[in-house]
Order: sequence, then C-alpha cells, then structure tokens
Amino acid sequence: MSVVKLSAEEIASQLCVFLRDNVLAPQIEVTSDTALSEIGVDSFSLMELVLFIERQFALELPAEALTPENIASVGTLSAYCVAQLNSAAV
Amino acid sequence: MKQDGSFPSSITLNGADFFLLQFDRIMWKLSGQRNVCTFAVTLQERLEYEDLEKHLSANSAYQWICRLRLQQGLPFTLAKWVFKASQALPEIEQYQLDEQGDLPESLLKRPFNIEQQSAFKVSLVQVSGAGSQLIFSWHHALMDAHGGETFIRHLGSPEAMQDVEWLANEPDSLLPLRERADIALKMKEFLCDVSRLPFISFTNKNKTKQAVHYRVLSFTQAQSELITERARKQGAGFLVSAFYLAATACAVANMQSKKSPLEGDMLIPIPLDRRKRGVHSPILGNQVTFLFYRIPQTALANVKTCVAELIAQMKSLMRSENPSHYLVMMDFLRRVPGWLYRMQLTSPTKGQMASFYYSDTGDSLDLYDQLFGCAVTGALHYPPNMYPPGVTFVFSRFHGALQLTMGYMDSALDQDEVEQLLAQLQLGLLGETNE
Repeated sequence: MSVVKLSAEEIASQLCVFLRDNVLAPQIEVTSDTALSEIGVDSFSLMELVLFIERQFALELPAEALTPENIASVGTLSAYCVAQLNSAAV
Repeated sequence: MKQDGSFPSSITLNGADFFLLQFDRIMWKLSGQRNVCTFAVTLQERLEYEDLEKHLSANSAYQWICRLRLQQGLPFTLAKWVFKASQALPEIEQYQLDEQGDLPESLLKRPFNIEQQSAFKVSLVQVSGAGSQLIFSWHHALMDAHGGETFIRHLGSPEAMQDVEWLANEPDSLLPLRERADIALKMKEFLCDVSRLPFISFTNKNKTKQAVHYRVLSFTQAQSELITERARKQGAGFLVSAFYLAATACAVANMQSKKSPLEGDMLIPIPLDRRKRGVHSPILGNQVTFLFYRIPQTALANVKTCVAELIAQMKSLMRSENPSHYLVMMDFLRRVPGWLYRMQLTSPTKGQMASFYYSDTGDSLDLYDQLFGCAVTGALHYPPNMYPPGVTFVFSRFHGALQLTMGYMDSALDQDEVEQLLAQLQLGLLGETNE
C-alpha cells in the first residue's frame, strides 16, 4: 500500500470511523467539517486520534506541531496529514 | 438507565469506585479525613432556602441518590450502594457569611458515614448583600467530578437534562478471566516499577488527624489566554494540561529542593475520564482510569523539558494501553478484601503513594450558566485531598478563565511554603514576562 497516495478525503473518512467507534457517544455525529471542540473531543481523545494516525498511516505528529487550526476538524487534520505525508515522500 | 422514575434498588461499585473507597479508608485511618468531593457554585442572585428545598424535594433522582447506603458484604463479594426507602433525606445546612470569601471550614470537612448516611449533601451559603453559594459534597466512591457536575446541572434544571444516563451499561463481554488475570499481574509489575522508591513526596506520616486547607488561584480570561499561548511555546501544543502539570511539578521540585536535596524522581498519577465524548453520562460510578507518570529529576529543571517528558510518557503509556489495563486491574481487585487491597496499594511505596495528586477537569464548567433559575457567576471544585501525600492540585476553567484549587494538609506544607509554591507556580504558568 502506498500511504502517500491517500487523499485527504480517504484519511478523513478513516478518522471519522475511528472517532465513531472509539471516542464518541453513539448519538454524536461527526463529519469531515464538524468542529471537534463542539463534540467534546478533548486533548486526551485527540491524543488517541494522533496515535491512531501514527499506527494507520505511519505518520508521527508531534503535539507541538498541531496548532488549533490543524485540529479544528477532521478535515483540517486530514489535510495536515496529507501535507506531512507528501513532504515525507519528497 | 435513563431518568424515568424507575431507579434500581442497588448499584454495584465499579473498580474505580472500590479503589477510591479504599483510599477513603486509608485517609480516615491516617489523617481523620474522608475522600470527599466538594463543588461550590456561586449564584448572582439570592436563592431562598425554601425554594432550594422545594426544587430538591421534587427531584426523584435526588431522593433516590440521597437514600443510597454503602453495603459491604462478606469478603470476596462486591460492595454495593443499596436504596433504603425509609431513610430520611439529609438536612440542607444553611450558613450566613458577611462577605464573599473562604468557605466555612465545617463545610469543607463534613462527616461522611456512607453506611449510615447520605453520600451526597447540599448546603446553602447566603452572602450579605450579595447572592448565594451552593456547596455540594459527595463521597468520591459514589461519583467523580464530571458525574457530580452533571448531576448538579440536572438538579438545577431537570427539564433541560432529560436524557442523562445514570449508570454505565454493563460491558457486552468481558475478557476471559485468565486474560484479565494476566493483565492485572502485568499491571501490578508495572506499578511496582513505576512507584519504586525513592521519589519526591510531600508525605509526612508523623502527624495524625490533620487539618486540610485550600487555596485558590484564579486567573483572568486574558491571563488564561497568555497561559495557553505559553503552553504552546513550551511545546505542549494541544496538550495544555501537560503544561499545567509540568509547571506544577517544576514548582513543587523547586520548593522541595529548598528544604532538602531532591532524592529520586517524581511520581504523579493522573485520572483520565473514560466517558464517551459528546455526552456527560453516565453520572454515577467513577468513570476514570489513571496514567502514571514518573518524571526524572533531570526533566524537572525547567517547564519545557518537563512538558516534553510528559508528552513522551503519555504517548508511550497509551500505546501500551496502560490506562485500559489499569481499569482491568481495578475491576479485577474489587473482590479482594479491603485490608488486603489497602496493603497492596500502600506497600510498594511504603505508604508514600505519590509525589502529589493532580487533575484537570477541562472546560466542562462552561456548561454552568444557570442553576435553579439563577445566573451562575462562578463554579469551583475543592479536591478530595487524598492523604498520603496530602497535596492535591485541581485545574479547571470557568467560561475561559483558568482556576487552580490546591488542597494541602498540615503535615505537608507550612504557610510560608504554600506562599512560595503558589508564587512559583504562578510564575511557571504565566512566565517571567507577565507584568
């Protein structure tokens, strides 16, 4: 599998599944655009998400690199992941 | 179970409840204090005693919870909360203060005999010429801080809080017994290693029946934003809580080093809320597990180094599923007789337990706008100051403003040391450039 070729949408889809299965209560909806802070995703659950990204996409995200803009939603986080994966591949 | 008037007649304590009950027993024996959570809510207007009483007596959940009594059966059977319909409701105590300030000591040291009396109590403080303060106290074995916050919001506005879950659902399937036993055993080995002596601690067991005191540091919203900004500059990124803890650990190390040369590392267990996100349920039962940090002395020299160390340890502990394994262990140990459990808790550290206790309740107090029809102007947790070691820090944010409550016992710190520690901590949080 070539991880680098994953699109932001594909990553976002996997992150949403992870959040639904492991982090969020069943009645909570999450899409690529949902503001994570508004659905109760706190720093501990973000760390779970970061570790999932590390396992799933072999991408280590240092905490200090994750700015409020990068972690605003699944979509922004996925876009950041794609950028990191692409820069690692260059 | 949702609120529909049909509450169960008994509730089995989960692993974290039983763990916190054993802490209560240790505290009671060594310090004469109970493991009790206290939560103070300040109202803009005056709430009359009769109105409060009317609200509470009309609330079926309050009536039910206040009639639960702890029942511990024979060794190897599980402890339970049992509903006793014939029991009277606890008296709502009323206090009068001349001005807003420290709470009366008797309020923060209320007796809790949970076998015979309610594990949840409410007091009303009337402040002359100002509004009221509501003080809610509950035994930590009944629920944690988030459960308490949600229950109190339900008391204050039951119609807006219809869909709360009172109890956790039973897990669909437990791991096989053998597997759970293996996890518990490995966790025990980890705990013996992480808590190996020596470590820096406030524990001083020379005194018994100690008084507990509280100090509160409140920051403005602007200062709180500066602190968050500083957290980022110190490498905490989105883990601002790691920065609070690092600043606390460095302040403690600095103060302790003035008393005597530091010996060993620092051991800090951190509670983690394991509720699913997006809801605040369940209310009853402690929904927590723990992360155990062991911070080497070299990382205590400055906040930035300490933040990096904490984040590295957090990642490593979560990768190895340490928090969920601790949960399995706590659940597994529920059948162990209390005396044996307490011996297992205290023996690895010869009773020192930890360097200090720390928790961060996050932004959940932002949900406090109104209570009993009155505007809320403040909400603050007073930590159950677990002894040993007898020093606890709780960070919380109320509508964007950071606040810290420190609980300490006589044996741990004297007045000068408290002042020194708080000054150092403030400096660590705000940085030298805050003028």
